[in-house]
Amino acid sequence: MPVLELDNVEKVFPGVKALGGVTLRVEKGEIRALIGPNGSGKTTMIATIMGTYRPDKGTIRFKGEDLGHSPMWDRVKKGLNATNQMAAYVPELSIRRHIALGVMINGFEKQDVERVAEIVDLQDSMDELPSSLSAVGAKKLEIGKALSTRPSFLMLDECFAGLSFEEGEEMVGIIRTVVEEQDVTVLVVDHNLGLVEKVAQFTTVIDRGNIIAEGSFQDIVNDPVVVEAYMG
Amino acid sequence: MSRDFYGWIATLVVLVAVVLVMQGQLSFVITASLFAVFAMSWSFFTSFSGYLNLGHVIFIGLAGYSSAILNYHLGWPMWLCMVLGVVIGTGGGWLYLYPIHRRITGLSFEMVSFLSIVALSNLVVSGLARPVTGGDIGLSPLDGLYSTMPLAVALAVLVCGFGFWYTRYLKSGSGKIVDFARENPGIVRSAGADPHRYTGRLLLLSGLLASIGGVLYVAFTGAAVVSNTFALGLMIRIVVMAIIGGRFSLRGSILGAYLVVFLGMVLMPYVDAFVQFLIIYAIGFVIYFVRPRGLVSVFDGLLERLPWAGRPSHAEKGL
Repeated sequence: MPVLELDNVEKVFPGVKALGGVTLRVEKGEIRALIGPNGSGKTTMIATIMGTYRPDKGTIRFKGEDLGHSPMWDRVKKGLNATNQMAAYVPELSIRRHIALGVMINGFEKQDVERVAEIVDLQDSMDELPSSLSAVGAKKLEIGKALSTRPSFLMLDECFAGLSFEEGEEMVGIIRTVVEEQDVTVLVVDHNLGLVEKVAQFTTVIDRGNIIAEGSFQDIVNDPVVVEAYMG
Repeated sequence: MSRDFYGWIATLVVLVAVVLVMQGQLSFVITASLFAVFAMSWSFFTSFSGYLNLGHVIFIGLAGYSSAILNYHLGWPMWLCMVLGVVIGTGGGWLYLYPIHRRITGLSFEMVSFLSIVALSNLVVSGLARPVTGGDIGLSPLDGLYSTMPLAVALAVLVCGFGFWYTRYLKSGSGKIVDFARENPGIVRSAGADPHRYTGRLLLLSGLLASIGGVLYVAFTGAAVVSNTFALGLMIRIVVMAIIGGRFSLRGSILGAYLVVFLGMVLMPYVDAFVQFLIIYAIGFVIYFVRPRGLVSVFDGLLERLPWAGRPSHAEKGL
């Protein structure tokens, strides 16, 4: 049974159909990649799944339950979470406090803070301020914040953006750990096809708000429709 | 006992010392303490939630007028009217402001809260409400409180008691969530909580103290009139006091209230009330630009330079 199901989800902004009836199913324990050119609707899709935007049409089900118009924080309680493209943090508050926030709000054990810090390899920077983090550190903090809520489905928006290949590979390692050890299903949204190929078991391509292809990475890159969408 | 506890005990000692030194001017001391209650309760919500609440006097007005109406029209004992006034002021003010704070933020919240007090003050003096509120004359005389030493000391205890409670609250788990809700509510949502739930609690606690201040102020002045409850002028004075003392600081608000009331006392023989306000507002204006964190930041700076003083953490600053 799919853990996340989108049925004919539409989202229209004035003058733009950001999502044109998207249907998607993601199975439990999967690492799914969602790729597509700039402006194809990837981030809108994440925001709609998280409840930031209300779909104009269609339904989103998580673990079989229709999410309806529930607010973002309620979806997080149910086990959904997502990271931001640009790290969101309060510059004056330590990395520890950022990771502890989700643990505190959800009433988890305090040891979760250290456990999450180890997964994202931030255990040595916990008392520093987020502004001291490098690009890859900020991405790790985003994942750490999300993991602190013990999600069962995690969406990573542009998690390889701005990283070197080595840093990207480090992120791939973290994503694999999250899936294998934390029993989390992951949807990776990115442009970096080299790293997407390394991490994803299954790839979905979106263009102009519509899913245009799904399959293994090799199937996708050889699909003429996808090549056309990417190369114009 | 914690550093916070001793800090507030020290503040209480200073306030009681002021009461003892100024025994001949108890009404000024009591007025200063009541304004400290207003300024601290305003500062608690506005500074720590990030919402600039220009409708704070709704709590004061609802509580003050409720107690006055019950005492004046029904002849109920004043202590009972004051208790009920606090309940009505806190509950009514919160039920009015909380949905607004949930729906709108930033300048829109400021405008709506500001317009609310303009509307309410007009409603209170209108012919429609006159049979109940007394219109622009208000309700007086009421069974009031007198300028006594026990009242002055009790108010100092009230101010410091709430100061300690507020400080503890801001350092609790809920207070730590408020730190995020103020700076970036989206972070709280993505951690699985509704940020308004936490800022709403600040509003409730802020309203509780403002309502207590409201019933005490009405009882102390012996009259419920718009000028000492719902008035725009009262709201502006509260904001100016917090700015002068330090609007990001609970103790700063107390300092600002005392300074403004005592400055008024000093100026009274020489200039009329309008010129007094002009001078006080001019001081507030200058301080806003020269020392945005208020005069309390001068003391904080001096204390930090003491060899035995530990540097307070960022979160502790302003408490």
